Amino acid sequence: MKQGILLCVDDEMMVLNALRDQLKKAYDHRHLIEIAESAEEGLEILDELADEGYIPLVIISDWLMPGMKGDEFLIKAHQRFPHVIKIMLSGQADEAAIQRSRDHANLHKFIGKPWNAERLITAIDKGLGDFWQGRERQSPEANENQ
Amino acid sequence: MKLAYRLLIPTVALFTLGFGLLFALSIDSERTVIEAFERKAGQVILDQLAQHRERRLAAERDYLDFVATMAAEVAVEFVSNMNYAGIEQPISELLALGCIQAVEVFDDTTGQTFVAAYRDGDQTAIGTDLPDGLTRYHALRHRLTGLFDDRPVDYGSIAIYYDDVHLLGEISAMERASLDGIEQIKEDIADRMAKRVSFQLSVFALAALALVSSVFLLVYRFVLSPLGTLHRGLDRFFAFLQRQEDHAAPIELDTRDEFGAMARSLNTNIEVSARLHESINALNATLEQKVEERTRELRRAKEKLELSLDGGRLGSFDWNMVTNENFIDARWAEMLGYSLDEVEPCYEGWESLTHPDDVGPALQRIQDYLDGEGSHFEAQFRMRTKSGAYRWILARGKIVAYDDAERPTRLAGTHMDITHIKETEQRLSDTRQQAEQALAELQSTQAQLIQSEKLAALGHLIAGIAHEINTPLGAIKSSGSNITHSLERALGNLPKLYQLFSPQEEGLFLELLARAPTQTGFLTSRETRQHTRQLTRELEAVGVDKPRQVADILVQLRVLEAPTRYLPLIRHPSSDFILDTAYSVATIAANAANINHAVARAAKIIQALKSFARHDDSGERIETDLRDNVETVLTLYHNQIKQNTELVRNYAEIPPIGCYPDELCQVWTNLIHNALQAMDYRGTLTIGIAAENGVAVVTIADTGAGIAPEIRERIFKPFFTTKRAGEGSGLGLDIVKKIVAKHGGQLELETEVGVGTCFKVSLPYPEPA
Repeated sequence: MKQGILLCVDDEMMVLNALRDQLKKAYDHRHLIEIAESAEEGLEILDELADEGYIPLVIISDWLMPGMKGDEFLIKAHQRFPHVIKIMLSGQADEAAIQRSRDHANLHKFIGKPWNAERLITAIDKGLGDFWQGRERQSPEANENQ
Repeated sequence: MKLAYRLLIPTVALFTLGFGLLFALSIDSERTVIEAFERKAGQVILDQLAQHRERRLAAERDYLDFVATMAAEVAVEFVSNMNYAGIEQPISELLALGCIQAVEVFDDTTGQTFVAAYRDGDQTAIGTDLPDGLTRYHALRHRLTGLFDDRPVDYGSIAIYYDDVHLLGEISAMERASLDGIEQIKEDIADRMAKRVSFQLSVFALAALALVSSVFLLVYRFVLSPLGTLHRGLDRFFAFLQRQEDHAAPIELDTRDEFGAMARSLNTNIEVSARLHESINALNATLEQKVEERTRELRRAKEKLELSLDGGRLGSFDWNMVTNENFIDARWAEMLGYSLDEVEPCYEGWESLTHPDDVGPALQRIQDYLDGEGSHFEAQFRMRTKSGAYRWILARGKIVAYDDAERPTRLAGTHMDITHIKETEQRLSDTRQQAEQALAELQSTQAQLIQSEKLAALGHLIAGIAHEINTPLGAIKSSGSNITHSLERALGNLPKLYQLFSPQEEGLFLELLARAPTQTGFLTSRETRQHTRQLTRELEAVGVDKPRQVADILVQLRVLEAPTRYLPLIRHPSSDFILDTAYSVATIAANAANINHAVARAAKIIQALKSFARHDDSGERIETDLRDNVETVLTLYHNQIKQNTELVRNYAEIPPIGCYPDELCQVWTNLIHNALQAMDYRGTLTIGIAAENGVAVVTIADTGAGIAPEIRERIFKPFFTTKRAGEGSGLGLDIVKKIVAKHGGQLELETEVGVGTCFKVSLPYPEPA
């Protein structure tokens, strides 16, 4: 059975810890929950796990981090994995960066910090719902191509 | 210039000019006459010479003609006889006759030259041919005619070639001699003429001189000399008028012309003036004396007036302390707007008019004086005028009489109105108070300004700080809900779980729980992943189902190696349930640790905010660790720095320093803020803290644009800013300078355009009190 990946990127370990347990509670056993402390590490994980056969499903990223900023990261991730649901979770993001993510990374949702767990899960669920719906429509064609 | 010169110079000039003109004209006409004569004489001589030449040339021709005729008669004989040999002699002889150059005898009968002779240098050549070129000579031809049988026969011709060069040369020489003679004569004439001219010139000059002298002498005798006498006489008279001479001398000029008349009439005047003058002198002497007397009188009057005026400003009193009579003068009363009889002439009269508050102190002064304090009594008090207003009075007095027992009986002195002095003093004091108040307000404003600059800097940071606080808050909130959820699950699972376990399994499970993470240290995401991968491989190797999920949970439970130890639990029929429960318990611990961590972080930020915003008015130095002080600011700037700036801390262990920590915070804030802006938040921010020779040194260096030399001096000036309007107050460095100066420290700047800027703050450790 193929497993999906839910990736959290934030420069604060305390945020990642909290997020991971939150997501584990919601999606444990169904998906792999991965955390990365920088955008660069996030891209590494996506590449590694995709090679291992996991399917990147959701990326939750902070915006303000040392090095690569959230919008740039999401745009890069989008170029490689266009179908992934991208959520920005940040206490401080400028409007231009959010707009860039919407335009170039198909940003699914922006959520401010401190965040509400239920809203976050709802947003992910909605995204995943759309995602599966899309795949179901596409799958017959995909089968034909095989 | 004296009249004499004024007359003499134009006279001489005029005469010179006149005589010069006359002389030039006469010389010129004489020269004209001579030249005309010369021209005429020259022409006559030339004509005569030409005639002479013609005559000479004609005579020459006649002579040669005669010679030729004679030669022809001779030649006929030889030609007719065909005597060639004989003719050579006479013909050759012809050539000896000076100017004859060649002779040719032509024989018409043969049609050939009979004989020809010519000069060849000094020799005579003779033959039948003549050389070419004879045409340049004059030629005389004669026919050779003779009688043959009495009939005239023409035998041929004779040609005599001659030249007149010699003759012409002779004539020319003669003519030259004649002309030379004429030139000589001309020169003689010119010479004589020049001599005559210079002679005439001398005569003219002498005549002119004589004339000028006589004119001048006449003028001097009859005009200049009398004028001089008049002048001297008048000078003396004026000198007398100006009292430089004692006597008025008459003018000694007794001629019968106009000057004499003038002198006589002047003399009359001088005599009268002298008499007048003497009487005026006499009057003057008297007047001076009178003026002096009058001045003295006036001075005395003025002194009197001043004395009386001075006396007028003071009122006087004389208080008999035995009888209580108080003799005051009119001025005393008038000073207060009363007339003398309106004031009671006793102690009570004074007391009733004096301000109640001032009576006591004034009496005290008198008492002090009586007790021997001071050489006289002096007091200031207010007295009521008739109109009800108060005037300030300065009273001065002395004891003027004692009784037999040496007790004072009379106090006398003066009153002076010093109200205007008092008023001036009051105004002065008011002004000083206002100035002090303004200064205090200014200082308070400055303090407020510094504080508001600090708060403005804080305002700039606040969005970042909010984020900094939101991060731990978000973590706390999420971890809280995680704990709640995990606790529910763990509490629900645990009772069931214990029913499933064998004692061995239970021990293993408890051991697993005990590994749960405490608050000490998180694994990094990378470490977590490495451990998970390692454990996954190991579990896979022993054929565990879903190794990755199991590894995940084990790593969360801090089982980082030898996972096979827990195989009994992993392979347990209810393994999912067991691991889920263990994971829930671990989650509780991990999230509790996370909360602790987040709270500590939030507390640190709040603490930094608190110490930053604090404004300590106590003015007392507080022992502070500069590293903590700088870190406070760095905490607030953490959000700004972490974006693209590398922060290097070079902190040495230094002892705490007595300082004003909240003000120093502002120094670091301004310097760090400037540094970040200078490099547009990209680069390296290096902060050094060290101590050397009793001075703590903090350096803040950026890798920014540097400061251009032309603004280096100005950056410390208030309201100077390179930031856009609204971004900086321009007060930052001015405040930094003030605060550093308050600590007795120094602010230094090293900067290089394109390399960066380093601010160095040196703070001396205060001397122990």
